[in-house]
Amino acid sequence: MHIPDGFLSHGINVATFVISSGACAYGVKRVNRNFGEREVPLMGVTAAFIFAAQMINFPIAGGTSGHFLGAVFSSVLLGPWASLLIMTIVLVVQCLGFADGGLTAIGSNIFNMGIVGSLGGYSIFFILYNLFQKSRKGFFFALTISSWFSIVMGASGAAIELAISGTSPIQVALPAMAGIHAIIGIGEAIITTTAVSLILKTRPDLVTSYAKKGALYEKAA
Amino acid sequence: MKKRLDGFVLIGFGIALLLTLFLSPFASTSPDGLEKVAETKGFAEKGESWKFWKYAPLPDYAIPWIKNEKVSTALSGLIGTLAIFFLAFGIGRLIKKSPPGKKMFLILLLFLLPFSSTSVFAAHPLITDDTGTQGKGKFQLEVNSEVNYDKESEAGVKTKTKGGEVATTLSYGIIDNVDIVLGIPYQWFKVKEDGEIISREKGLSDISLELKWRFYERDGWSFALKPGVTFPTGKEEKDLGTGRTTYGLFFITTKEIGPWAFHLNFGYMRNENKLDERKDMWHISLASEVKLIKNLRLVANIGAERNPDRTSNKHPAFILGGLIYSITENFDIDFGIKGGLNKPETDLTILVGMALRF
Repeated sequence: MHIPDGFLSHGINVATFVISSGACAYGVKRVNRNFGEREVPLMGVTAAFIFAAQMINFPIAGGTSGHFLGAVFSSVLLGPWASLLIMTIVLVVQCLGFADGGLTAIGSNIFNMGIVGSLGGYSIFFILYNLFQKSRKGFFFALTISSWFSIVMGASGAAIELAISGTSPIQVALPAMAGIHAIIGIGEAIITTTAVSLILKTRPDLVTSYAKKGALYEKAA
Repeated sequence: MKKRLDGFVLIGFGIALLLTLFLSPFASTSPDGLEKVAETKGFAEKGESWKFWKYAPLPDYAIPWIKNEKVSTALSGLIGTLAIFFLAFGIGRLIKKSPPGKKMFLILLLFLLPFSSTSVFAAHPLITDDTGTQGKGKFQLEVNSEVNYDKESEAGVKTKTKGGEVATTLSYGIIDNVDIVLGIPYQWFKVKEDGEIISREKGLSDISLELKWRFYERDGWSFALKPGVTFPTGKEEKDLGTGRTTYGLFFITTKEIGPWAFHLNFGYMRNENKLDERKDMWHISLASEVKLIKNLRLVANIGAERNPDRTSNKHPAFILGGLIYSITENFDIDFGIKGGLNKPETDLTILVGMALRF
């Protein structure tokens, strides 16, 4: 889903860059309130895991591949704002270090995968988890659905940007992007649910969003 | 609890490394979702026509000089995973601890790092400048950082100073042999006396603007003059600046012999200040560089400056050793360790920097 240089118009590049920087700046403020001694190494290892997992493309139908994104995964572990920052760090390093995703499109990539993926994905998780009255089953259901949506919504965001940029008309780009990523999203849902349930088994205290009671949106202070 | 968290981090990190080392080389090489759509919907060539950022050291998750694709992918992933871990860890720490202003500034700098290149000192970590210029119309952006430690003990009172600096320097070649150089330093330090903090400051220090003119060049010898001014942008009452606009002039000589290069600097600096410090300062230093292999230079440096303290005639002197590694022709990273040779000089300084030319 990493958009390279050349796909998007400069208008879109600038607009998404401004929105993404603003969101990251606010994210820093939010994370500052909640981060303690424990979260720092957790942020490092979560980001490292996401980067590593993103390298592993799995084949899907029709000679296409997809990979894990980790937006909902990191949101559920550390909160959506920390997740936005993690996605930003990963995207910046991938762009500058590995030529994966264009530098001019960095704002759009952070928008699609960080803002839409992490913040949007987590919002869906949060609503569903609450609808199911924070039951264990509800947690996994919310996790599965929201991680699928994080991919499809992020891809749709990319399609809309491509359409506004005049690269590909919306009636072509949107169904194509959403269609392919609906399949990739299944992979995302499986990996996210498996990884979180493993962590929940071994270290339930580290899954900040899985609380039996009390504040959920972010770690209770 | 703490220990168990360490265990978790270790296991998580271990899993990440296993993924990159053993699974990533066997990942699907088919186009991903977006690439596929771009191919089938006919806009793929738009992404191939130009690239804004051409300096990625490990393009497409490969180490360019490793021929074996699987090894190349695995190792590039290993580097990336380590880099991400430390970057995220570092940013997390900054966010956790620092007040908003410095935090934003440092995070911005961290992200600017890869874009950055040349400073007051052309070849960081060297203190001594060389006669090199960027060439007409070319830029160099450097981000150089240091942390320093100093211990003194006088009349039974132990003073410990811990500080650091991040300096962003932008050089621009006006003509082939003249550069204009803007330096923006950000400093912080903490002074402890017998274990108690007596002073702790951070902030922008004095911004400098310099002109470097290489006026003569022949048979491996070159000579340059570097006049400069510094502006009182640092808060003087916080010890971050001199509080006055001040100026200086450096004379620089470089001699190149095969893989070796030597640089000699004489400098005069006017130290306008509101404290009762010496106003006329001098600097002398000598540096040598040697190209070990194609992309790696070993550097050494020695020098001294006049002590601004009127009561002392012991002038701070230093010795420094370091490495400069050129990832690409236009992108260097460097590392150095500087030691104080006498009491007035800072005991230990660790320097890390990056330079990008464009």
